[in-house]
Amino acid sequence: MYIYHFPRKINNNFNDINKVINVYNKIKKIKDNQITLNFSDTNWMSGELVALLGAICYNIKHKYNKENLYIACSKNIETTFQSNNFSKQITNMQIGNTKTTAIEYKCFTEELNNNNLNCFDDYIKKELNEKLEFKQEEIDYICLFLSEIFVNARTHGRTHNIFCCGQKYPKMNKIKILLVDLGIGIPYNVRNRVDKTMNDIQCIKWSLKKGNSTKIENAGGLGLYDIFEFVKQHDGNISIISSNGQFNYNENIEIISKENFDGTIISIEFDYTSIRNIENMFKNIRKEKNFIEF
Amino acid sequence: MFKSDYEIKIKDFVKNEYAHNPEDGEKIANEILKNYKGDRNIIINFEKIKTVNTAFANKIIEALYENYDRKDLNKYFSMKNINELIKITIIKVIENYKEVNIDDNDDSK
Repeated sequence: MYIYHFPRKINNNFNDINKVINVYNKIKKIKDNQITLNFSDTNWMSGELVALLGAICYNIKHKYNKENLYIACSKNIETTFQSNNFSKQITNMQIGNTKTTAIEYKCFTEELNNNNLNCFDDYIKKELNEKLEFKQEEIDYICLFLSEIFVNARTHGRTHNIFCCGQKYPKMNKIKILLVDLGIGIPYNVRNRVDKTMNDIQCIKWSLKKGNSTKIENAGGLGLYDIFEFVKQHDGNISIISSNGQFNYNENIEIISKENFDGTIISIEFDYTSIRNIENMFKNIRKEKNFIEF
Repeated sequence: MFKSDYEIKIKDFVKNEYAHNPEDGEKIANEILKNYKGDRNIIINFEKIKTVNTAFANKIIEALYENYDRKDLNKYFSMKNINELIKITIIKVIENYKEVNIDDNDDSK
């Protein structure tokens, strides 16, 4: 049996995420069919990172055919996994407390396979409304921007294997959401469409610029740019890992990591209190432009 | 302006109040191309729709640009039941299309 012991703390930063990706890359190569991910010594994990854990577990089971995957965890981590419903979905354990600041872990594979293209909107709407008690117009606004990432994942990533999880951090007034897809990755798409000599980080930065799209149609290139503008406007941050490229806007990190992730991880955070001011934001935009001209 | 209208309702093609799927945008674009020959006013009706994202709007705006004259669109195209969020997205998509695809010296405007 292969057992990997996770560290005491796993935060949503490149250093800790790379440790998790490193474990995943090792598991892909080993022949042992029995794997245990051991979180017994871990007393803190950023809740939204469960999306990455879910994506990795999915591929270990379905792509690398390691059926016997076990997860052992400390009380704290068990609570985290229960609060975002990860334990129930992975092990069918019953969850206890439903009063939570977690945005539930969700794997969209089955619903997308059944052609339910509204599954992400329905999920975000439910989580923000029922659990986090956002107002309807705030939900509409957040859902609009997050939908751009989800559509990008399934159309550009060309995959149904998409995973999401999030966490509200009331003391910081922040919501953090992690969306992971096991698709073909941003660098592959950009190199094929634009320039074969671009490295992974150049490809990620290219995809964030307005009007840049790897689609063959003439319209496009606003999805990632829009979400980038959204986090800037709401005192947030965006970080992207795709293949070996790792980009973090606020911390100004642009690195080619030795750890390769076969897919894309997008982490966004934003100040949810600033969204309470939607009406004022619209007033400013209205002043700028109020007519449509082709 | 023409005396008669061709009106297309987004809600007839979208299952919930969010128009966020490019597949739905493409269906609407195809419906417009099939039925609108430029001989009427064209109206897009957003009744019961709260938001549209750029992935959805791109499909419709691109179809309009590529199949109809810009001068005619400016004269005969309109939208109704449109809220601020939708308007912002549509303007953004049109501006982006112009920036990427249309030469500033193009006099077909």
